Amino acid sequence: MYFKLIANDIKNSRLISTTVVVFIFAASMLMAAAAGIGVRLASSIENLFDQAKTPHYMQMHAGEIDRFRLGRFVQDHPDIEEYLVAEFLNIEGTQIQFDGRSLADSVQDNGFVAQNESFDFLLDLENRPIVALPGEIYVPIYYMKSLGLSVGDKAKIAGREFTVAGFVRDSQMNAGLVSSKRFVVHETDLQSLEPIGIPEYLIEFRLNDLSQIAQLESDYINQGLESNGPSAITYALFRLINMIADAMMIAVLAIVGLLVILISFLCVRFTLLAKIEDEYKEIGILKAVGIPQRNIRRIYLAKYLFLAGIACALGFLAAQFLQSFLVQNIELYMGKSDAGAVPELLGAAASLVVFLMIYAYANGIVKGFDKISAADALRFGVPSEKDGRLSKFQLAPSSLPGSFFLSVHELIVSKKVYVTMLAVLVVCVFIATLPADMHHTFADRSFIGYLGLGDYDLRIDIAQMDDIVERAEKIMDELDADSDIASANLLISKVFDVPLGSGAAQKIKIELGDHQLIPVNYTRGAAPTAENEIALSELNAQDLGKKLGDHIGLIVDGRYRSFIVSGLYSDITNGGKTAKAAFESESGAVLWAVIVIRLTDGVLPEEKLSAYRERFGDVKISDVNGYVDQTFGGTKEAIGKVALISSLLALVIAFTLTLLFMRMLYFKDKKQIAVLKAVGFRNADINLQYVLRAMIVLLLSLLIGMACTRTVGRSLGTLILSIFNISGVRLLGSAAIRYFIAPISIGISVAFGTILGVRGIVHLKISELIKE
Amino acid sequence: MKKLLSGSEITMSFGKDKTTKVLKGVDIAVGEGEFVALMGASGSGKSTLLYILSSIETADEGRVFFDGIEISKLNERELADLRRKEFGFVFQQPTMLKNLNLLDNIILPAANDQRDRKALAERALELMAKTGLEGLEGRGITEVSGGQLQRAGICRAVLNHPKIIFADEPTGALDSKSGVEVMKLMTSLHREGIAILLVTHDIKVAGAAQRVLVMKDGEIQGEIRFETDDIEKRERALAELLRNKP
Ligand SMILES: Nc1ncnc2c1ncn2[C@@H]1O[C@H](COP(=O)(O)OP(=O)(O)OP(=O)(O)O)[C@@H](O)[C@H]1O
Ligand SMILES: [Mg+2]
Repeated sequence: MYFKLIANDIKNSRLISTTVVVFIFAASMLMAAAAGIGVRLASSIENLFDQAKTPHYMQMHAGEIDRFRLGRFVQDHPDIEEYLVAEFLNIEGTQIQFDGRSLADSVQDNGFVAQNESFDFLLDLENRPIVALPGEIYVPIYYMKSLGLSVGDKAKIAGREFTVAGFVRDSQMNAGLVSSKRFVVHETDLQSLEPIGIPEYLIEFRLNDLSQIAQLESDYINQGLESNGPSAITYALFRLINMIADAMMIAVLAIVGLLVILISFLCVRFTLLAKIEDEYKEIGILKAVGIPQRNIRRIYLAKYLFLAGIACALGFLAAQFLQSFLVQNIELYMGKSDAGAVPELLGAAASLVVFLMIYAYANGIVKGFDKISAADALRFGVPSEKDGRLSKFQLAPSSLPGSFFLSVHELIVSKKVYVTMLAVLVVCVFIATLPADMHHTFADRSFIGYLGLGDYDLRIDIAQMDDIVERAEKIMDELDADSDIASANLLISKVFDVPLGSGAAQKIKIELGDHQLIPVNYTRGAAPTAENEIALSELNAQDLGKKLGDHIGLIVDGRYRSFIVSGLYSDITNGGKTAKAAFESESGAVLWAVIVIRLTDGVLPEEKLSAYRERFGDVKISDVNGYVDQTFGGTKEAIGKVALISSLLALVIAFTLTLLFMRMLYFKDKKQIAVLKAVGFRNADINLQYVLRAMIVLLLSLLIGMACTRTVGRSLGTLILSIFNISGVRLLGSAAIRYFIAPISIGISVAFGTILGVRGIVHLKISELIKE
Repeated sequence: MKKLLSGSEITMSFGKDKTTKVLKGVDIAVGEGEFVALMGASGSGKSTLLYILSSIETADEGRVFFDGIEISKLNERELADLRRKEFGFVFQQPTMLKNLNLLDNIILPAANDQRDRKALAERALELMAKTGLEGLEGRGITEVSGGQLQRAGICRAVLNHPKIIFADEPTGALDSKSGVEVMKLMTSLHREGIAILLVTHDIKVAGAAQRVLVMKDGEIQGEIRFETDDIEKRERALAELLRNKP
């Protein structure tokens, strides 16, 4: 029965109706897509883990394995359903070539494996366990994408020819975030490659009862089983690692969706308010002739129900297309989902929620019609915002310039309207600065403070050779003779046992040497100087349950010795768990040695770097930047991209939202603008009022946004970094970005949005609004 | 009498392709300090003419002069300044900012001037006292009667000492008592030397003017200049004119 009314109304306000439809459509689409993709992702992962029989607990180990001890450990744990020790033959990137392109630049550990027999299957793109024939190689999907490989391509591994027979869907190491990748070859090929690789082992378990994982983990560690490698990974972590990139995409979809809902609210609010303004008199008449409030409300709501209904339905349909596009990556890495109609159902539910939110919001606004008094409406034809209560802030007693007064006054009187704009701009400031801060933290020189080595210029890493200590000492002798060097410090890392109560022991890596020469920043305490002192990284201290001044026992040279924790420091290298001490020891396996160098003033690190590289060819030499790039380059780059994209997104949102907001304000204010023009305000005066208002709101949102970044943002940033396996880093802000680039670029977006939004002021005809 | 405002050969059309001719070459002049009323049937083009003369609307053709300046040659800033400094407007519907109180609405035209705000407020309060609005300066625009609001509108119109006031049916929405009060005010402004161009349907209102023009179908078809001060005689003459050339 309302149809004709609605149709007429929509025809008369095509622009506004279209805007409303577009935003609700986008919101519905984004939310439905986020819900649908979420379900598909979860289902794909579940499917993949089922097919691959992903291990529940996995420890990497480089070195000998005591298989007898491992077998006993398994016997003692009836919960272990199956276990295996899989060889992972680590081969240098330079030795792996596809059509002449090598993987030398790859940051990944590239391992060659044969298919496992009982579980942890490496799957092909159809989720079937791969069966590699001799001469065939199956390549991780990661490289298929980054190198653009296809079946039939030729590969050369250490001079031997292979044919790419397919690609590996690897439930453990699929994600780019995981720093190892597995290539699958035939058993015999693996054996023939052995001489050129370094064998490592994946020790894997599957349990009957998943709740026993934590118990298994602590037993494994406590009994000191093989664990020379990164920390063990559990089932939950595998799942998380696989999901994280796509989960972030879903989160972004949902966040943008929420923002768009907020913008839709704005649209609805403004169009309804403008409508009230326009038809104030009509509403009064409807009331005066005795039409019930409910019916009046319904007349105005009908249009929004109609528009929102259509927009949400279309949005849901569009979400299906968007999804099929966005799940391509998920399906490639994790395989098809078999969730049936669940994604569609949940997507429809999300669209329905969007619809109900819009409905509830519009209903709330239309309730305001109840307050319109028929008498007032007929007498004055204009609504008064706050039931005739005026603000205490008045023009006559103030000495502010008129335009400025009117701007501030309007902000005070229509607070509610501007709070929405404020909220959106705060979000913009937040997403523009937080990722930038994270990126800046990596780029800042103070980042070395987290590398556990003090403030150095160059470092020399000596590892993977038989005579690490001799080689290191020989290099030290040569460095002593170099006058360009202010100080050089040799630190040797060894592994020791920390005896635990039960007779078991835990391994700890300790860096031995002089820790005062080039000291790290100690968050508490000081460097170990005495023979019985030890400093722990924050994470290690947490792990061992030790505080500053606590005692800790170590087995050194076959004897139990007690040490005092003299200091705590931040270290994000080597999994974050390191220790420093000054004692001498003959025993303990040498893991690696590092020489930290500080140059005399005026010597360029780059020059020294290339000179040393020529002189000491067999060891790894890097400067600070090089080291950070090698170790955290991928992470830094990823965060840099996120920072760039989110900053641009912030600017786009700030601009469009302001444009829209100001456009609607303009429509709502048309009559008032005509009054100002009639009494002799210039267009520039009136424009200025809108710009001033926008700038005041912007200023407030900058203040609030920055306060948010400093507080909430810090913890959020630290949280995000911990996803990248970097813990204990305190976020640094870039003053230039926070106080200069971000405010100015957002300011420009807002200013442009405002000027464009109210550009109608110039053309507004006074006569049309004042006549009649 | 020196000419203050004049329009010549003013034409104006509305609608798609400008098909409806609303003004068909109107010539009109208002002298300095002169009080002129415009009458005529609904739709005859009175309001349109008033808006064109007062720079609120632009004519298709024809020229408008104010104080020797051709206003169609002025740019937007100069026009705004002209409206603020030389013109006063009184409309049939109240045209006030809804969130400001009466006093602030009245001083609005001078809000951006480099004038002492205190002196300005004093002048506004003086005007309000003169128009019987004392004590109402703090009220919102929905907290006063229609007649009071219209008088406040007149206060705003004269705040900047205009040379001319344009009024489009200022009494149209008022009861007869309020209407009379508003017209008394207009008459006293005229005595102070301000020119007035006023559109009305009401013979009694037009009777307060010195000269009455009658419009029909976009043209001025009749004119009367009152020689007498006797209100009754004026009204009778007007009725006569309207009867002959409605
Ligand atoms: N913006 C417009 N668009 C189209 N037609 C218009 C417009 N403004 C006025 N008109 C038409 O021009 C004619 C003259 O209008 P105007 O308002 O000048 O009449 P009026 O003499 O003031 O009438 P009233 O006594 O009813 O106020 C009318 O027919 C009206 O419909
Ligand atoms: Mg009219």
